[in-house]
Amino acid sequence: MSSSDRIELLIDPGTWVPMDEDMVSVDTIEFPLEEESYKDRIDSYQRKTGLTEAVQTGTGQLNGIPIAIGVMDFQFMGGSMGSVVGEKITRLIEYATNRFLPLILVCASGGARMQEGSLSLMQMAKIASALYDYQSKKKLFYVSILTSPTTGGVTASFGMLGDIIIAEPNAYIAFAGKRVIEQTLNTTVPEGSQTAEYLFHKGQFDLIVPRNLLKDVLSSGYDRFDRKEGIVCIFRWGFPGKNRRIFLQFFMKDVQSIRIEVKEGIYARRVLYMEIRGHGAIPLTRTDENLTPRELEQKAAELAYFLRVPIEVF
Amino acid sequence: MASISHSPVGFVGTSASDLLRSSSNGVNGIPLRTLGRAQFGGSSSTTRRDSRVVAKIRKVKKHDHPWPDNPDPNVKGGILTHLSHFKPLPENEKPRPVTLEFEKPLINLEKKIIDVRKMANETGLDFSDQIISLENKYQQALKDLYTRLTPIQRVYIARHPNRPTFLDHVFNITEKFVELHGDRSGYDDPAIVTGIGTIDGRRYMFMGHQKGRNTKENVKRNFGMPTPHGYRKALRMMYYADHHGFPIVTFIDTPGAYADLKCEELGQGEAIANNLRTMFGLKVPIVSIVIGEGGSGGALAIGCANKLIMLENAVFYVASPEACAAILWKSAKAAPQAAETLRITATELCKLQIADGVIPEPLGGAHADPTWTSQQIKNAINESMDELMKMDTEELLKHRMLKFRKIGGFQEGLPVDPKKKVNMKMKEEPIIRTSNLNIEDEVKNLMQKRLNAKESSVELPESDVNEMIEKLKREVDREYSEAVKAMGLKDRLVLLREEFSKVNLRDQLMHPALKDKIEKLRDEFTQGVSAAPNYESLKSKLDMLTELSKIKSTSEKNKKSATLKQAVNKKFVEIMNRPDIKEKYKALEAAIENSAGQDLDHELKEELVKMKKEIELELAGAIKSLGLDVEVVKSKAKEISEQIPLDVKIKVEELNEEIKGEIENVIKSTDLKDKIELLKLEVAKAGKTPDVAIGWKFGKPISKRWFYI
Repeated sequence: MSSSDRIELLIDPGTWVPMDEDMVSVDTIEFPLEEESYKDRIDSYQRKTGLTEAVQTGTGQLNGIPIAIGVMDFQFMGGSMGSVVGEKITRLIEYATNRFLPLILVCASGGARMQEGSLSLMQMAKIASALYDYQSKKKLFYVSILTSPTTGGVTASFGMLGDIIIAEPNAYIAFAGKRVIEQTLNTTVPEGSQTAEYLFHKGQFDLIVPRNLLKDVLSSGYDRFDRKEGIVCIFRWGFPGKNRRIFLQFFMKDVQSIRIEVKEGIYARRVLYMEIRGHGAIPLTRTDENLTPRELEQKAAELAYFLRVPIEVF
Repeated sequence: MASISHSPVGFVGTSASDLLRSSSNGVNGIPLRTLGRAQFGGSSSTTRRDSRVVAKIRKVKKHDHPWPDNPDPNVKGGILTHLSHFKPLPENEKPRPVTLEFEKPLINLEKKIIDVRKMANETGLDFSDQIISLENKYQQALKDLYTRLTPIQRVYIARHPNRPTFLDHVFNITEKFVELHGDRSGYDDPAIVTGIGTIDGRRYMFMGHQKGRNTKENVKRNFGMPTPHGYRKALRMMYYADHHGFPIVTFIDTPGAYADLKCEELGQGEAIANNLRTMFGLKVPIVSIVIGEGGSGGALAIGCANKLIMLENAVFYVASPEACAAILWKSAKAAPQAAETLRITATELCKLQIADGVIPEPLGGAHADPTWTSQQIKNAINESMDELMKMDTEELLKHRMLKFRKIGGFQEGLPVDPKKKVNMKMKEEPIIRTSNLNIEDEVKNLMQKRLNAKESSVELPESDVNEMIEKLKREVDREYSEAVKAMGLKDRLVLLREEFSKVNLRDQLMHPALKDKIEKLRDEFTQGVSAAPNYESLKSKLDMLTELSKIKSTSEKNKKSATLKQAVNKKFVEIMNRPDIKEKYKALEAAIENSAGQDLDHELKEELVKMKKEIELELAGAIKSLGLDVEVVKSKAKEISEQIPLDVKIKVEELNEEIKGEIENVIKSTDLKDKIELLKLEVAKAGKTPDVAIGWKFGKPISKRWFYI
């Protein structure tokens, strides 16, 4: 699947803003080949695929959530990671760090670009450094999606560093390619030993999600409390019909209190409401969710502390 | 296997447990003495051999501990050296000196020197000149060779079997070193060695890849190719060093991470990625030294350092020259070319700013003089650590981040040929999704505001109304286009539009046929619009639009009149302030004041009128200069001003007459007349003194009647 298609699949229409579109590789180590120099190779791939590089980065909205997303493309030189790919992804991560956006990186690569020598190797370290800042220092959320094929340097750097790693079904995911393993072991590699399902069984990633469910898995149903802008967004998928897409937005200063309603009995009902001036009470817990009283109190306390509103108990 | 016969004579001096213990010492069987005694003692009695106890001697594995039986506490390096398995190789296992391809000429020279020496010893003749010259030649050849090494030759030297390994160096440079093992989750990888040691009194955490010194060791060490367990061991040690504040020194010497199915399952990529990420968060200085070959990710996993130093003949590559040649040149024989073009040697990497320094090696490679090399490494470590210890943690982290941030060559800013961007997803126009509810609300708000403004007599901000009108116009346009689409008239509309634009361009009068077409389309549309699905919303929006435009126009008018009033007032003030008029006005004022009590003189009135006329003329002139149409107003004003005093007078007189007339009528109409005649007679009779009561009698009804007029 090409990167543009994937962006269309995930991002809401009309919200995509690309970054660094004009970054092109240069032949830093002057890699001379008799038939085709590196520069010519890049040129021909650019014309053939219509892409400037192996990755497209930018920001957009995923069902209303603003996110930063980077998508790699296997068609451009086998998705190989060179200086430009590293730089674009690093800039994307830095942008997301500064704006507190969640990050999604879709990986599809054959490895590091050999024509750039050790420079492409150091891109792994560069991206890992940016991710350290993003994940460990700022504690933001990063999802990496591994598609077919994802091998080599990408697996050994940002591919496997996601807070949640999602793989596509039947994807070829590996660190050392099949040929290398066969050379080292002098035996043939059995079929299916580097597929997503097999590695999933060995505990390497969190989820296997097919493409048609991907968008919903990434975005369905969330409550967003943004203290900096002072707004609260609540997004839910409702019933088909007029209320299919429920998207509520209020100002944080309109939130009057958090209300806990507990009705004991055989069918105990413990619901958390958020009182909004002018809109009444909006329930926050799911209808089938059965929290224990202690859990409910904890949640209410956290939320009330964050929003700085009082708690009412019924 | 020993069968113990159960004889009444016990085993003197021994017991079963004794026997077992002795067997565990590796001594098979029972000590002969006891056997002998037993037999001796038990020969008389009947040997009851019915029950046999068979004790199997288990050959327990003899653990290969590195310490000798009598450890010497005063050995160089302290007691800790007894714990290490890494001992100098015993003589029988020492590797044979290996010569590389390109060293062959040197070997020939050496052989010759040895031959000459032998001959000198045998014959006793003096061959010293020859020997000296040969030696000189040898030295020269050596220098020539080793100062002009090609990259592939350096790769071969880096992979030299006799090259000193990590532990060789460490035991040469540290006073004390203890190796720490295990990743605490399954395995102790021999390919990565970690430990704590001191150099010149300063304590560091060491870690590095360890290759073997001979084939047996190599197999044990897996040729320096770590598994995920090794990386996790290194990670654990890094956390430990960070926690306690030891600076970290890493030695890189690996062909790459071990490429095996089992390693894939264990998460080789993930282990390396984790190491990479963690290393950028360690708050202690990190120095990495490449002592042999640095193979791609496997090497980088412990190589994200503040300073990356390389030995002169060390190489660092993303793919080994053989693999690269196989992929790009389709044959592994092109390895020398690959090594050349990939720029993997120390000096090249220094130029690319990936490496921070080069440590010189002795002529002939590190294996020629390991101790000297180790000393060089020690100096390099000391120097870098001196520099890095001066930085505080913030600076250190930043320094490490920046070192890698600047690596990479690309070009941006120059516009790219759009043909190359065909498939890239371009920036899209943000869809202004204004929902119906929002518009209605906004209009309501606006109305509310207007009412409030009117009440408080404050001008409604123009911009708001304008904005709303713009928005509504857009919405109405959209609705119209949707209705047209729904009615299937879109194509005709588009065609007509095209024609119209063409006609406009050519600047001709509209073709009557075109006009007809447009009219027809309009009629159809108006007829069919009520049937269109979005008619309701269209209508409501149109209504809102008309209302708002009304508001706008009234506010505009108000504004206009306000400005006009202001302008006229200004002009009036100006005229009044003109000196001559001012004087006259003041005089008039004074005169009016003087005659305040009495009626205004006719003269004065005339003066007043004249004054007014003058002022009005001036005003009219000034207003004309404002370009306004004052004709009507002026004439009206004039008439009014002229007629006012006369009019009023006449009217007053008329009124008086009227009133009198009315009174007469009233009197006539009622029977008051008779009464009045009677009264008159009585008054004539009564004489001079009219009675007040009589006056009263007349006063009341008349006054009453007066009220009804």
